[in-house]
Amino acid sequence: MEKRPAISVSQLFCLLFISRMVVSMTYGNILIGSSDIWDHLISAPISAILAWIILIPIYYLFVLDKKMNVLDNLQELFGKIGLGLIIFYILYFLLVSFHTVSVFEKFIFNAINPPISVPFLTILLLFSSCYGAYKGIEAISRASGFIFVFMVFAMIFFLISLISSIEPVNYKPLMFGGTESVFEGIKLLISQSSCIPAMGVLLPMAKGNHKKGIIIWNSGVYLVFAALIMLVVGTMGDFAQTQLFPVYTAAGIGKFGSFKHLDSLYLGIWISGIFIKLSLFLMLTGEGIKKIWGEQVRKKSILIFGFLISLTSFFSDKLELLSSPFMTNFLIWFLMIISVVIPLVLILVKLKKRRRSVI
Amino acid sequence: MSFISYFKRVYLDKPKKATVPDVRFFSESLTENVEFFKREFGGSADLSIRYIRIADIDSALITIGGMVDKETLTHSVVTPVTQSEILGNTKKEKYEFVRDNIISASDQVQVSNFQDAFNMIMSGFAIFAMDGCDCMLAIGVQGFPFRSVAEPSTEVIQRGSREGFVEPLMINMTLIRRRLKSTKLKFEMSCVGKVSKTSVCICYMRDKVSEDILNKVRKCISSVDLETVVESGYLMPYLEGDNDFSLFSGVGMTERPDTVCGKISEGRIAIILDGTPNVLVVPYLFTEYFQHIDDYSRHPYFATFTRWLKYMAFFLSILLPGLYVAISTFSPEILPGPIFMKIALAVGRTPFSLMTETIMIHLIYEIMREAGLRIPRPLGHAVSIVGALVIGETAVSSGLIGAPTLMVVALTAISSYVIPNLYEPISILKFVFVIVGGIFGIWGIMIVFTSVLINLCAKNSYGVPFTSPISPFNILAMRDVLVRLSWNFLSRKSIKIQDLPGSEIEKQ
Repeated sequence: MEKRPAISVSQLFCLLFISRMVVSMTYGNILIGSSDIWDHLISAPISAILAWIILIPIYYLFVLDKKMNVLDNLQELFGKIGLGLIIFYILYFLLVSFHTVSVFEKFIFNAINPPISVPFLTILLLFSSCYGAYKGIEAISRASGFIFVFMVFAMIFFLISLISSIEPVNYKPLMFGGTESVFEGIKLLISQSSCIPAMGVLLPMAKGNHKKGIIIWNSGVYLVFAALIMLVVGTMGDFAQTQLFPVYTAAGIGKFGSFKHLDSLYLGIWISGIFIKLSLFLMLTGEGIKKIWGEQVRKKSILIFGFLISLTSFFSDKLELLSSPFMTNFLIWFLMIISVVIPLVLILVKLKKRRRSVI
Repeated sequence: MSFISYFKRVYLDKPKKATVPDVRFFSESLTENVEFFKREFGGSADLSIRYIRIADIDSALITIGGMVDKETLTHSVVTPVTQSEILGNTKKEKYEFVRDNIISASDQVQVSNFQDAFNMIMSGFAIFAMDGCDCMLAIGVQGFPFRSVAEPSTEVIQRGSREGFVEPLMINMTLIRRRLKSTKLKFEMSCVGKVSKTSVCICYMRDKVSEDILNKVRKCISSVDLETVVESGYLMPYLEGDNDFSLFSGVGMTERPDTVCGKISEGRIAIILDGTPNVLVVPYLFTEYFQHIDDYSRHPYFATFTRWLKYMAFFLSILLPGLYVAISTFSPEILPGPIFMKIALAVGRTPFSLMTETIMIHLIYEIMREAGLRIPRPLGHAVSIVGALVIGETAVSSGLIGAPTLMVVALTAISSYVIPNLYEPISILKFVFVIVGGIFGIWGIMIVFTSVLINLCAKNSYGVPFTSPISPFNILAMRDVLVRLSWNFLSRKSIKIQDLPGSEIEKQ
């Protein structure tokens, strides 16, 4: 087996935290539609528990052989068919990259509307992310360590700046309009859990206490998400419901002493986070390609995929699909197949093989 | 097609390994040996051969003019061999008698082939040859002129030693040995440059160094395939190890013996090259660029303060011009009203866009800096006057450039000199950020900044992550990164470079 790059568990979960938080930061009208954002406060703990359950097969597969990731297991246990199944993972990681880029474009177009060429900015982002993916997991995880610290400080700053603007009257009773929004929230939050399949590939690369890492990471992600909802709804009330990106709007309202316009701070963290997430998923795509076609193709494929995704930036109106309810459902099913079904089958086959070898 | 193959041959094909020249041994005939010396040197004017007749045997003293101390040569070689009684029956016995009893120089080596003799003679040794002997004596009578030990002008300090490295290798080794009186300190000599045959010395603490890193350094030095090596900078690409492009170097450079002593005490390796006062240190991490020997002789709180100043200066120097252009052009609402008004007023009066203006002033500044470095010192004042008056005063008053832009460039220039070792990446990055900021605004700057971060994080210096101990994080090592704790804390547990997190080096 080839020598794997080694990162620590804390680095891995910093990386995954950033990848997850960039999604939470753009949580809003575009993603949730007519669903009540305040009810998603209940969706958060339920989703956290569900995420743990979904994670069990991938974690158990990793525990069975700590040196092998899902892709290695597929190759070892199913041979050529396994290599074919790896394509599912490649497609999922590509889809997440597409989705991230589409959210990035939507955000830049709708929230900021800058006097610059958005497609060219997207190309710059993808070109840079390809560089990150090319440099590998060690470089991305080390960089995420810096960005994580930056993100934590910014969030504390953000919290302090908004806490004085919270109006208790904005907190209406939960599930006032029924339970539908809660279910919508759960679906949405789970569909955005792209870090779970990523863990299937990344867990063997990390050294340390994985179980502790998973627990802290998952709790942290949903706690921060719940805190964001509390802050956004508390400061903006029903106005948050009308915003495309309420967290960004709230950041613009925030004021701390002489510090104003915290939206710039928000933008700084968010763009760095998007970069890290794209680098990670392009790298994961490359890992899948490497498994099937080897190292040389991996390097080229990262650039090719980056180029292909960047092309979509010129057809941004066609990307509406990516943030539609259909996409949410599709992402959930896709996630279930590659995070639950395939790992479960792999576990069963692996255990069966082990039993046979013992006999 | 032919161009591609030519390109591949010249740039991509690995150079063929140089064949090792055949070793030619001395003959017993002095005439033959001397003739070979003359032939090899091609009648060079500085080759000096003095024939002496000792106990009825023809002998010769071969030296390179200007490289030996004539007084020492006379007192320790010429006078004793010409005035003493030489005992022995055969020519060989007489040679041995001269070697063991007559020559009083403390440093002497017997050589048996021409290659060794050439190396010795060109290092300032005198070669003593006798007819009938197939070996010669290399006598250490070096006496070439060199600069005296003085404070290095590039690394000035407020407190501490004023000694800096000089050009001769042996003196530099002495400067280190005097500060580390330990038997664990080891100097390992080798030679680089196929033509220059420059002496290079690897210096380390045997009990601190990682054998893995040491082997890598030895391998890197043996891979140097240059013809001439006249400066330690020549070795840097070979010592960097990998071919990955990085803006930052994983090889440190210093002119201070105390800095080298501090580094090798932490398990690092110093590489001293003969003929240059710049000593290389590996592995070298990003945080070390912000550490200075002065930090350790100051109060910890002040050292911490200056360190933060350096970090701030670094970020200011690379980001300030880019952010200035990006914010003023695309996001002026971020700026406070009065500042924005001043900038808008200045931009309105100048004919160029803010990005062009910033690039222009930076370029002019870089040209002036380069000119200031190269021109003779007496003319330096003229450059300063031209810079201050023409660029500073006249350009603003004539409305060609805006005063806020000039101030930003001046602040950037001063900040970049706070960490002089990082000047090279800073000078490139500030241009990159200005261009990106001018085209893509702060969004582009954030993307490129993260790319630079990736570039920084991807680098390993001899298996140690370049960004360690910040990321991968190590709390113990952080006592000398963002803060500089007092010596009471620093001395509690020493950290070797190979112990840093993320290091791929096997623990010793």
